[in-house]
Amino acid sequence: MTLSSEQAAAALEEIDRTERRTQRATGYAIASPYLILWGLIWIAGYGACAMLPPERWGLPWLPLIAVGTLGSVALGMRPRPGRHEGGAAGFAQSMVMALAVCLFIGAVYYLFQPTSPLPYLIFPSFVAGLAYVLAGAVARMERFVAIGFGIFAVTLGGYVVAPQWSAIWAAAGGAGLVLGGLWLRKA
Amino acid sequence: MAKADDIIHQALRLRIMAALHAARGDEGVEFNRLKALTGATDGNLGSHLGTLEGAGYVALVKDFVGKKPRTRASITRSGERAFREHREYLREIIEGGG
Repeated sequence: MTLSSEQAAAALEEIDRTERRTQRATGYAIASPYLILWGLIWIAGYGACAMLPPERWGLPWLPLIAVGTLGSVALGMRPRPGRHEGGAAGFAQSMVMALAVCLFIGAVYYLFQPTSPLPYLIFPSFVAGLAYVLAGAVARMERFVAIGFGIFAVTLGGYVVAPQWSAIWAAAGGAGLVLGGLWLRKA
Repeated sequence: MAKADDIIHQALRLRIMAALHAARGDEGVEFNRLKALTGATDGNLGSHLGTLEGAGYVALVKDFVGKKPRTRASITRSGERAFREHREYLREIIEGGG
């Protein structure tokens, strides 16, 4: 078999394209159950906030975050498609990122001191949406970008149109995560 | 000088090997997922997987999930070696300007 440099370049390009598509699909398959789990937790947490007075908004979140963390550990222990970093290293990386996001949100609240309780509800959704957009852009995983913008649009749009239902809009962002997780499963 | 591999070089088999190489792991890639990744049809994929299996480059595992049959494909050690060597061959052609 003798190939020209153009034929060799086309074959290498085909290999690269297929490898990128495979790595993206593998990433989606790994992320999907996490999105569904945290989307359900998000819906439950904000759904509870919609029914509680602002001074009790913290109550549902502690047990829900504990459930989410345990669920994430259980998901991380399952066999994964492909040889990707997983187990303790992957979990530690996720925890560092989660801690950084919480610190950032706390610092913004401290700096700007919202006078109404509503921004407390809505702002974490914006940060989550931004995190998905950035992660998707860096990893060239377009579906994450779409999910991030979807969460951002629903929560901001809802807040602008009917701020008194902010908890419901934030819960809708959680529903967006669940739908996003199901969408990733089909990738 | 790396060697060309006539079995791997065919367009669809090249995509199959690239996908299995990228997803190499214990679980293997499920048939329908591989079909989506490579843009193959059922018959096409089955036939080319058979050729790659015959060459010892791919291992196929058939089992059931509930009552549904499932076929998973994974790249073998010799498949990994042959794929890497073929890719090296392609790179050498470009570097040599042939």
